[in-house]
Parts: sequence; structure tokens; C-alpha cells
Amino acid sequence: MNWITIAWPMVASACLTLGLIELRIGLTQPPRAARLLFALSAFAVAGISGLELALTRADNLADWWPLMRWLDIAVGLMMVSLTAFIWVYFGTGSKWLALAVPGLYAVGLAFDYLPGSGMTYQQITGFRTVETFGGVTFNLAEGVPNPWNVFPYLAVLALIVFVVDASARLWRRGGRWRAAVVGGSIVLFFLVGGGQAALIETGAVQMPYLISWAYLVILVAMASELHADVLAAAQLASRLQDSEMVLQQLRSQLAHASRVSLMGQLASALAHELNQPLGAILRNAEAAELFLAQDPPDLDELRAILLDIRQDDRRASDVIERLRTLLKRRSLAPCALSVGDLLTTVAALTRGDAAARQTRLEIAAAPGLPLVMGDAVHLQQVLLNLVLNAMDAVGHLPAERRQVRVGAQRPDERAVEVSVSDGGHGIAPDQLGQLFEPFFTTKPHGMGIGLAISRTIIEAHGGRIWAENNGSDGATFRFTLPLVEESPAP
Amino acid sequence: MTKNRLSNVRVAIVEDDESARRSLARLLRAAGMQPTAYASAEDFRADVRQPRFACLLLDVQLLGMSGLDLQRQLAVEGVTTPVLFITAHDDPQARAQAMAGGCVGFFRKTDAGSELLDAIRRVV
Repeated sequence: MNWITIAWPMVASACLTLGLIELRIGLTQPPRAARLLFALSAFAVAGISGLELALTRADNLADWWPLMRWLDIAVGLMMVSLTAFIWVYFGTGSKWLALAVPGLYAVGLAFDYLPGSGMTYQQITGFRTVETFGGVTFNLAEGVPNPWNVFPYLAVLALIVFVVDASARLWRRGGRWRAAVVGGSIVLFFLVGGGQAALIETGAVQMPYLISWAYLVILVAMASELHADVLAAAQLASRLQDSEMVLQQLRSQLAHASRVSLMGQLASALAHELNQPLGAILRNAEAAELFLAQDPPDLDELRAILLDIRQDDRRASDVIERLRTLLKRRSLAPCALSVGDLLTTVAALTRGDAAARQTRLEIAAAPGLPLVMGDAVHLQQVLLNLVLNAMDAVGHLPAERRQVRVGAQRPDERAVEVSVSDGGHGIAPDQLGQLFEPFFTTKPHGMGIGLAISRTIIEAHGGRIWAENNGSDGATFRFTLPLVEESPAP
Repeated sequence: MTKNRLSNVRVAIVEDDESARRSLARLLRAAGMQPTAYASAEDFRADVRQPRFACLLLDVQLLGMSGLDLQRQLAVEGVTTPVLFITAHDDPQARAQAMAGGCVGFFRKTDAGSELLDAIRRVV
């Protein structure tokens, strides 16, 4: 097994992976320029790795020369993109040193394209097969180094000085970790990689080029820093999510407080609602006693009485159950529900209040309405709020004109619309837009909470709530609820 | 014997809650009276064939015309039939208004039925 043919492709694929990841992130997330430059240098190192491997196989000049030229180009590309990366990512550094890197390297690279010369070697004298660890063999070119071409080395020197300088500047500015990890690893491994290449080219050691290995370490250091940004963004997102949750809880608590206060408004009406069945039970029991005293007792009448008592008992416990459900604290849990049932429940809750205020409450849902997606308790809260507001709006009118209409219809294919109309004074046009703002109220003792919470609830259902003035008199509040099939639970 | 004395006593009940209406009528029947029940003040007014009632039992809160409105209207028309009020919601203001209108009794629906029956017996 030849480990060289495994190790180098592994380095190449590691570089490609790092580069592709950063390219993908860099297309959408800042720092974009730094990420794209990183990707470019990673691809260059992958190229270097592949060329290094190919060079271990070359045993003649015709194969070797083009590979060496491409290697020189790839190393240049890597150095330039690395310089640009530091420039962009550190946001500091000497411009002249940065420009010196491509300038000096370009001059050195030109030797590759001059007749009878090369960037690193003046002349190739032959190829040798060398044996290394594990009995693996590879080919090595032997030649005379080009003594005139100091430019690539000057370019490497410029890059190292540039990075040291930029790191020092960043360090002073407080970016110590980044300066140490990225700057430090670049300097260290450039010295290692460059040094090893120089040793091969002067014939001091006989081994394959390890430039790509050294640069892989640099890439990992750079990527870990870049990813720290992504991780920081992820942490920020999770913190945002947490505070969103807290906000949601607060909203739910506020909605609950508002429900409790609604119940306060309804309390006397609910006492009335309870007194009806309790009074009827009492009358029935008293009547039963009288019937029992007769001879013979009217058994049919007694049976009817017991049946009525049972029904009234259920009616009273329904009132209590509705109250209990409304007062329970709970978060939004939408499920399929019938708007008709919603209207019936609200009618039962407000009937007493309407009677006490001598207001006619007309409730009519269009027949055959589809089910909607909603949380019954929260929607009852919205509707109760609107109905109580509407009753307030007609409170000053003579009794025969105190009328509130609650309706449900289907305006289009996607939603059911619930409307609450009153025959009051209507809403001043400049206030129509503010009605749903928190703490906006037109009532002398209003808190301005009810409609704001109603809007929150309806919007959480994926619906819309708004108010409009009627043509003749009064106002209509409407809200929509998405149908079951259209929109699953938000 | 109570039954005999009250057997021709006709009482009108105006009450919009069906169960309350039925139970009250039943109690009066059990006490030997002859109740006629109406679901609203308007129904009561519209009944042209109504007998001569010995007294009227009116719910204070009715949809449409309230019991108090009906009492006022009858007073204006010179009807002197005694009026008793029943309510599920004891509102001092309504009680005061009913008393001012000359009602002979004001009862909560949860008050003992015997008190209500006694009040009726007193006026017939």
C-alpha cells in the first residue's frame, strides 16, 4: 500500500471541503469577502496537494515541467489570496507589504516562462527514485537551483512580515486571539513549508514537497476563526429565540390577566346566569313538595320536575365550566373548531350581561361554515371583548335601539370572517388605525389592552382583525380565521 | 282547602327564561292557582284574549321591553292589577324603581317560593 497516494489526496479533499463550506457560507453570510478569499486559498492548496502528488510520479522532464509550472502558479495564488484574506479579515496591515507579495512573486514566476530557465531550477539534471517510510518509493527531480531568482523567497518574506505586522496591529487593537491563532499559524507554517521546500530544492533532504500539509494547518486555523463567527451568530440566534419565548410568555400572561379582567366585567352577568337555573331548581323542588302532599301525588308532574331539575343542574355546571376554562392560564393550542360553537359559547357568556344592560344581542352564523383552526378559549376572549365593547358603544342609546349583531360568514375560499356590529356613534376616522395599538383607548376608564391583545391573538392564528364604520351608524369589528385545510397550527 | 280558595286565581307570568318560566308556573299550579305564562312583555301585550288576572309576576330583565317598562305602561293605561317582580339579578336601582312604581313584591329567583306564594295570597 502506497501511503503517499492516500495521504496527499486526503489533504486535497480536506482543503476542498473547507473551501466549499466557506464558499457556501460566504455567498450569504458576512464577512463575505474574507470567506470567499479563504475558499480561494483552500482551493489553491487543494491544487498544490494534487500537483505535489503528481510530481512524485514524474520521471521525465516532459511530464515534470508543466506540473512544476502549475505548482508555482498555485502557490502564488495561495499566497496572494492569503494576503488578501488577512488584509480583509484583520482589517489592518501595511498596504505596501501586501502589494509586494503578488508583485515580487509575479517577477519570480516570470522565470518559468523564460527560455532555458525556471523559477526554482536553472536546469534539471535527472530524476531519482527515492525510498521512504514503509518502503514506499517516489520520484525526485535533481537539478541546479536558480541562484538569480530570489523573488519568490522575497515574496514569502514580504508575506511573513506583512502577517506579523498585521497581527501585531490587530493584537494592539484587542483582537489578540485572532492575531495569535491566524497570524501565528500562518507565520509558523510558512516558515515550515517554505523551509522544507527550500531544503528539497537545495538537495539537502530527499522527500516529497509538504507545502500543502503546512498550509492545511493554516487553513484549519483560519477556518476555526471564521466558524467562531458562525457559532457566535448561532448563539445570538438562540438567545434571540429565548427572549422571544420570554416575550411569548409575557404575552400569554397579559392575555390571561385581560381574560380575568373580562371575567370581572362579566361577574354580575354570570351571577345572573347561575341564578336562572338555581332559581328554577328551587321552584321545581318547592312545587314537588306541594305535589307530593296531594292525594294521590301527580307522578307525571313529579317525573317532569325531576327531568327539569337535572337539566338546570347541567346548565349551572356548564356556566361554571365555561368560567373555569376561561380563567385557566394556558398557551395557544389551536385545533379544528366550529365558529358556530364559538358564537354559541360567547352568547351564553354574555346573555346575562346583555339582559342587564337591556341590549338585544343577535347572533347568527351563516349555515354550513367550514371548521377553522383556532384556540377556543383565546378566540372566546377576543369575541367577548368585541361584544362587551359593542355593548358599551350602544349603552347611551334608548333601550329599543341598543342592539349588537354578531355574525359569521365566509368571504372567500381561505377564511371565515366573524363580525361584531353595533349601532353606536362609530369611530372617528383618525382613530381607526390606532384602535389596536396597546394603551390606546376611547373609554374614560379603559386600559387600552383588550383590542391590542385581540390583535395579538388573531395574528397568532394567522388571521387579521380590523374595524370599520357602518354606512348609517355605528361600527363593525371583523376578524378572519384560516380554514383547517389551508393552514396547519402555527 | 287552600287549593279551593285559590283555584280560580289567575296569575300572569312574564319571564323570558324558559326553564324559570316553566318551574314558576308549576309552583303556582301546585299551589292551586291558574298561571298563564308569557315569554316576553310583547307577547303579554299581544294576547288579546287574556283573562282578568288577579296579579302579574314580571321578570325585571326581559329581552325587548323590560318588566319595569311594562309596569310603567300599565300604570299609564290605568291598569291596577297588582304587580310582583322577580329577578335573577338583584339590582338596588331596579328594586327602587319597581317600588316607586307601586309593586307589591320584589323577589329574587333564589328566594323561597313560600314567600312568593304568601305575597300572591295577600293581594288576591
